Amino acid sequence: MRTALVLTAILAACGTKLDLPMTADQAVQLHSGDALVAYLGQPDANAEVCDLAGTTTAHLTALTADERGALVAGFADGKIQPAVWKKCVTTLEAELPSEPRASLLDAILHAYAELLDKDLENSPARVERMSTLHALYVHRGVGIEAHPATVASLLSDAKERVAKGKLGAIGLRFARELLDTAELEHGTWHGRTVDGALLDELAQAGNETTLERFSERLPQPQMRDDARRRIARIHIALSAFPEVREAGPALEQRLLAEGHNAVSLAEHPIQRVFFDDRQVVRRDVIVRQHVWQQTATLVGKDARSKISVVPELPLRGALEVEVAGISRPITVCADKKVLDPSPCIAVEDVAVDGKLVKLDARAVVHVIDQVSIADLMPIADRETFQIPITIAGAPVASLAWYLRFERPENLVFGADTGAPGPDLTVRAGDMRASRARFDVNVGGRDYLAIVEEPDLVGYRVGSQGGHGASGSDGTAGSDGASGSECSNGGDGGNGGNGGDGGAGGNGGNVTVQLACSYGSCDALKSSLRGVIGSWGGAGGAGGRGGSGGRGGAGGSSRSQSSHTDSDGNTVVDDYGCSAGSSGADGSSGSPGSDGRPGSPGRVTF
Amino acid sequence: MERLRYLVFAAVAGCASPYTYHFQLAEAPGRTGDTFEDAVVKARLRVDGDAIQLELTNKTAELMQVEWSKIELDRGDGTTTALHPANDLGWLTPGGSAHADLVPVAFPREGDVALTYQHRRLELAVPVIANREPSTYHFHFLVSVEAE
Repeated sequence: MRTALVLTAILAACGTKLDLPMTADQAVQLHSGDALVAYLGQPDANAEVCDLAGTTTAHLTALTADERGALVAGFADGKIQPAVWKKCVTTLEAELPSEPRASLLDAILHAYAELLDKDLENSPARVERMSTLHALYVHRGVGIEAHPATVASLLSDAKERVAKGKLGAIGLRFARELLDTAELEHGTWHGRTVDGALLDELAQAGNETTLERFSERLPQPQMRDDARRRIARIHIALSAFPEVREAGPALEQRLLAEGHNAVSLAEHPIQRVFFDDRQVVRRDVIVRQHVWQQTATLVGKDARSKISVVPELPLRGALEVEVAGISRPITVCADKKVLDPSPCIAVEDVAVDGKLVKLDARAVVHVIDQVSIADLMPIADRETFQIPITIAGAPVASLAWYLRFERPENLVFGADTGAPGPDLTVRAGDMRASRARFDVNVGGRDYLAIVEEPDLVGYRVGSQGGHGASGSDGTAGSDGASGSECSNGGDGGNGGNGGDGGAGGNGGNVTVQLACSYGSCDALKSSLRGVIGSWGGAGGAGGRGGSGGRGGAGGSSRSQSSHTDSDGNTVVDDYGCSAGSSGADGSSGSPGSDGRPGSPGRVTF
Repeated sequence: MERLRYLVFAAVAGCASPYTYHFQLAEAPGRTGDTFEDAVVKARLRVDGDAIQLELTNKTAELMQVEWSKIELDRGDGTTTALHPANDLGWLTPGGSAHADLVPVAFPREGDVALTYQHRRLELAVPVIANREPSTYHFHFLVSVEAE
């Protein structure tokens, strides 16, 4: 057990580091539980990433067991904010096949049971998470069920804890409401059978909350519809539109059948369209270009300069439309479940223009955050990122967010070692929004870059020769031979000279074609003089000289030897010799010369 | 072993500092004590235990619907808590009143985290449809925290 824990800790520590901000596209590509949690944990994260059948933005196509576990654990641990998590899970619940959906609900109920057990009174964050899990379960759609054994276990556990007083005040409220909901699934509410009389009482009291519970959890479809009819009745009675309050049962019936009160624009022509500033999300759109891949990532910057993903923009409430024959401005229809009787514009009548935005089935605008730089060209000369809106095919309004391009990497085309840089034609143009655009065709591929005017200082576009080859190092001299006894050591050999460095390649010739649409060409030319260029490659460094060989060590000395003859005289047999001297060290080779730098090519404007 | 466990528990419990909270409805036009009043509503608010008690009177001649499932408490630290009445409630008829225990309300009772609430301003947002127009009442509470 302990080994398993240690191993888990090591694996966790070795987990892949995830870069933030992470786009939905990147999260989908990574397709792991950690990536999903990291993406959803960001401010402004878009829960559409969980829309398995989505068509507007990058989204998962399946939920793996790893992602399911991480999604629930990430929420229980407080890594994902309740609103975005709830939206994600609600979407998954609606789209997953029954078995994986039941497994997701099981995981949620296990997290619910664990939280219920904890000290809720002392932790607002825990209560918030508990509320989210609770609402998700008691307000789930019809047919969205966990495995029966999981539900039975949770309910019996909750009953026991309530009966034995094992819960705190907050946990007790959650548990009681959970048990009330379970009772409602059997057709009774606080011990009373749910019937038409009870529904009418609730409608007359305007008790929409209880009727909502009934419309979600009663066992028979007819009873659920009867509850919805009473909700519609309450909404009609409260409506600000006199024509709605006077519409009678026909509107009630229409609401039940269609879920909204969409107007015919042929009968009620549009007179004026405007945005409600209080409802519109404000962000700057920041473009990050990846010039070598020719892709770009769009991110959002809020008023506090915090960078995150670009938020979604719900048009309902934000877009106001005055139409003939209706007493007040109307907006896009609400979700059909809401049963809003207000006259409204059908979602199908609303569209957004442009490749960079999409509108989903709830009339929520999504900015495509991974695009090609070419896709940005139509908008790059604007100060703002515009979201043009059409109703019934006619352009009616446009929402604008400030647009800014981050400085991209230099668009400088190099060459292989010592080779000349490519000849290029650079098409450069001014833009209305104080930006410059560059378009370089190399090998049949267009490389585009958009640079804000202040970023032009130090920005480079052009051709550069390859670096010269480095010279080879000289060979080392051989060491001298060691002397034999009494002999001198041999001299070390000289080191070889280093090779010369190769010449740098010349820069290619650059032809600049200017497109001056918004100012004088002279001004544009002058601003691009230091930007577009041709640069020779640096010369290769000369090789280092080889080191000289060391002189051989001198031979050892020999001592004198003698003997005493018969007369007692000392007779020298061998006078010996002194030690040999060491050989001289070889001299080091000379270093090679640095190669000459390449010359810049010709730049012709 | 069992004895040691109790000793450890006692030591930990001894270190925790329990705090009590006091909430005061912030000064605002229309406020008197714990009551706010304008031409549309009269609201009496009190934070008590795990609930905010709200007594609301509809002063208009129209039905008033409180969007009971959309009430939120902004904790002044970037987080919000969704609150709802402990018992489901309906609309308020002209001149009618309703009493709601808005739950769940939790505040950290122990440890330094409780002190982060000292002098904090909480905002209770109560969306209503009054005079047939949607609007939201924002009630502010000033918090003071003191050791028990």
